[in-house]
Formats: sequence, structure tokens, C-alpha cells
Amino acid sequence: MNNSVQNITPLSQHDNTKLGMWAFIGGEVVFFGSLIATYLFFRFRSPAEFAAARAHLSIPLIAINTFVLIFSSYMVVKALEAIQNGNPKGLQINLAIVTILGAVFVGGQAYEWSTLFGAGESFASILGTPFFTITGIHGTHVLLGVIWSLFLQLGIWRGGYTQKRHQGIENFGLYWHFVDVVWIVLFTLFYLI
Amino acid sequence: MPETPKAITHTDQARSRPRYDLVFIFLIVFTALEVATSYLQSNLKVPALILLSVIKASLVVLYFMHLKFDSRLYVVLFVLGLALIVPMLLMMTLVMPGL
Repeated sequence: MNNSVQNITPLSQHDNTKLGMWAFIGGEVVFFGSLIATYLFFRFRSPAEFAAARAHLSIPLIAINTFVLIFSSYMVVKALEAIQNGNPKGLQINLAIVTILGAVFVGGQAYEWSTLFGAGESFASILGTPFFTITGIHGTHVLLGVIWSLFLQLGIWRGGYTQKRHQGIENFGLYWHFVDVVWIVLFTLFYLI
Repeated sequence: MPETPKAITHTDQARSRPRYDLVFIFLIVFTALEVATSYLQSNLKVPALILLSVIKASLVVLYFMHLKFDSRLYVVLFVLGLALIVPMLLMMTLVMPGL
């Protein structure tokens, strides 16, 4: 039997690292889904306390932070597009913007947390327990993304990514966009509804 | 001889690359709409906010994450994660009365 035919399976048509990233994202959907379900549980059990505590949240500040994260997602696709067009310089610049925007988002979140602590919220309060847990885990994801983007910059500097070889950039993009999707949901649930 | 299945290539992806600029503009407009809606006092406020949030998340997943153009296997992995949340929420409502 011809070996080239024998070795073809449905999974062999996919890049292993990309498949692994999607499997990871599938797991993350369940993880964040569980956290959001827990938040909803807290909120439905104590609606009055939640309404009072939510007055401490600043919609304008977080709306700016949301814009920052959405813009960073856009810059990630522009970075991928740049390397797909054989433009490593474009990749480098767009990715640097992503790093800065990610850091700005984390900084904005740190500022918000300090404001909330100043207003009397804590990890043990009715809003604080789910709020700090979930936004903290999400913020950690953003921070890890920022660190990952710095490692990618190192890879670009060493010439590791080309027009034909840039799966690492695409995998990073999948991760970053997913973190953005989670924030889109959290922004609506925590701040707007 | 059987025909070799065609692998998904980056060239294919590039050919079907979406208009990222347009998606980005939609995301910003919908975010502004969300913020404006949150200040309204209406029974439609919550459904409208959920709808806008779902549209925004779908735009990112379908276009920025390329799920609309990529392999069905990735769609299965993503949807499977979403589907697993449903029984979890149902169990939560059953074991926690008054929820």
C-alpha cells in the first residue's frame, strides 16, 4: 500500500499546535463558563446587595479598557496579515502595539481594583468574591498574553517567522482573541446589565 | 490510486481573508451602543445588551479567529465547550432552589 495514502487521517490534515490551541480554548470555554455561572448564582441570590455594590463600578473607565482590548485584537489580525504578506517589520510593529495595549488594559484593571478597594470592596464582599476572582483570572490571561507577545518579539528578532512559517503567531492570535471574547461577555454581565 | 485529501493551507486562508477593518468598526460601534443602552430604563435593556454582546463575541470568533473559514473540527471543539456549560447551568438551577 502507498505510504502517503496510508498515513493520512482526518487529524493529520491539521497543524498539531493549532489543534492543541483549539482544544485548549474548548477547555477554557468550560472554565470561564463555570465561573460566569457562579457569578450569576451569587447575583440572583442577592440582587439588592449586588445593585448597591455595583454603584462602585465605573462604566466609562471600563468602556475605555474594553476599547483598548478590542483594538488590540484588531492589531493581532493586522500582525498576522503582515507576516502572511511577507512583511516581518509590520508583524513586529503591530505586535509591539498589542503588547502595549495589553499592558494598558492590565494597568486599567489594576487602577479599577484599587478604586474598588478604596470604596470598601474586598475579596470577601458579596460583589468582590466573584468580581475579583473572575476579572483577576481574566487579567492574568491578558498578562500571560503580554508575556507571550514579548517572547514572539524575540522569535521575530531571530528571524523565526516568515511568510510560509508563522503558525506561532496564529496560535497566539487565537489565544488573544479568545481572551477578548471572554472580556466582551464579562463587560456586559458585570458592568452593563 | 485514491486521491490525497487536500490540506488546509495558509494560501486558502489568505484567499478567504475577511475585511478586518469592517469587523473592527462594527465592534466599536456595537460597544458604544452597548454603553448607551446600559443607561436606558427599559424592559428591553437586558435582552438588547445580551444580543449585542452575542453579536460582538460571534464577530470575533467567526472573523478574527477565522472559525467561519477554518476546519469544522475547530468549530466542534469550540461548540463542545459551549454545550458543556448548558447541563452545568441546568444542574445549578436544580440543586439551588430559588435561583
